[in-house]
Amino acid sequence: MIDEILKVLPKYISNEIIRLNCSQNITEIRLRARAKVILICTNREIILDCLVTTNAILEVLLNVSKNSIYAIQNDINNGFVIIRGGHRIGISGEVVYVDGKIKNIKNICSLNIRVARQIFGCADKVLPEIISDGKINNTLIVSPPGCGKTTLIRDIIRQISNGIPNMRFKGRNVSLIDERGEIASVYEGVASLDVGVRTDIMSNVTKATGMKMMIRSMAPDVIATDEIGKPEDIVAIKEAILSGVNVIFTMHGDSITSIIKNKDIKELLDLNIFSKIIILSSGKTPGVVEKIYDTNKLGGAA
Amino acid sequence: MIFIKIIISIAILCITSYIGIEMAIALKSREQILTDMITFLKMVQNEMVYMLNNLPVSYEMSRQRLNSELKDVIGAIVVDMSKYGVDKIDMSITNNVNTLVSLKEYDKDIIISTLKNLGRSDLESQNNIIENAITIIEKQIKEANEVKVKSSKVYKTVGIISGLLIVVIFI
Repeated sequence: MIDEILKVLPKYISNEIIRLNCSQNITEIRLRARAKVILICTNREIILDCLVTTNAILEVLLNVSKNSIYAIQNDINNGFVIIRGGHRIGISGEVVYVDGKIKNIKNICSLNIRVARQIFGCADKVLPEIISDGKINNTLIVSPPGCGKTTLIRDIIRQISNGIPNMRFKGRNVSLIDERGEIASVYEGVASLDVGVRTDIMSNVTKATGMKMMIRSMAPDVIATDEIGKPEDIVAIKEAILSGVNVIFTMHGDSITSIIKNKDIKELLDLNIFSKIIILSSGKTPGVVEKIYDTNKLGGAA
Repeated sequence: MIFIKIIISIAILCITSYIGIEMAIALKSREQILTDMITFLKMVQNEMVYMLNNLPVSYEMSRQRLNSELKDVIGAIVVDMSKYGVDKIDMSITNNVNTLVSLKEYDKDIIISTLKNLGRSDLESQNNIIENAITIIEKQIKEANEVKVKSSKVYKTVGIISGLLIVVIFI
């Protein structure tokens, strides 16, 4: 699973990770200049003996970019790079601004390599709520960070796109706006993670712009994106609804009470845009559904 | 006996003339490789700036237009870039460029240092590296052309004359 990550790491670090024989449990690899490598596994943290040098960090970026750092400059300025396999490398260092825009991140001193994992079938329990009588209900998935909303929305998109034979649901055209590359992890134009055969992906673009572009150009049945919340997102969502497109979104929060503090989201809820609101639990196990609200029923847990 | 002497004389004359001509061709080859290097760098610059292609792709696309031994050298570097990690690329660049025997040491130095520095910084720096390399190589081409004009005929003539001298003196 982490073979593609091991290929971009310096040999002395990748050999150490292979020696530990725990690669199937690794969720993150943290490289910080002049500090030891930290592996974050599903149930523990491992600090390796090997020290990260600034040359090692440069070597990772050169390997990722095939000796062409300029070619991934845009990704570096966005703070992350996607590599083959869908793994995401977060970058931090000294930001260089020119005319108010990020021109470069220099003296890169930390890399956070997140291992991409896809859980097929994790949306099975919520799909009967999202799809009823062959129609898709506009759905909002709410969860705290790290509790599985991205993994869940990815599987929802995949199944809606492919169709669900046991629900007699035919596949629909899905437009996915993947602003930070976390859902589909597009690498060299190809989605590294399975998001379905009828899914069109717009990556590296703001959600608001992406939604408008997709509605105009791709004739979607469903629009999906991760972590809505900005005022411009809300404007684009209203336009999407007026175009007759169904929507499936996620946002940060741990309850209805927390999300209505965002006045823009409250406006969407007041307009009854979402038929279903799925709240994920903030417990130890990610992906656990705490509650599903049906806004069509007053006072509504489904 | 005379027949054998004539054959040996012709052989000596051919060998010395060949040596003279080869030295003259080497001068021409040096100029051609340096000119190709400028063409290559300009094309790589276009690939970087307009297509944002990575180095292996930029090199492979650009080397197709080359006519000299430089084409094969760049091809070997591209193969090594695909096979090996960053730590071995520098060695590959040095080893492959050193196979260009027509070039002087300072020609090779500028080519090696340019190729080693490409890919390691942002687009603006890449442009600067390429522009600087082109400026230096253009001066080297001018020098190579002057040497070629001066020395090419001399080498050919000396080759023939030294062959004749050897024949006259020893045979």
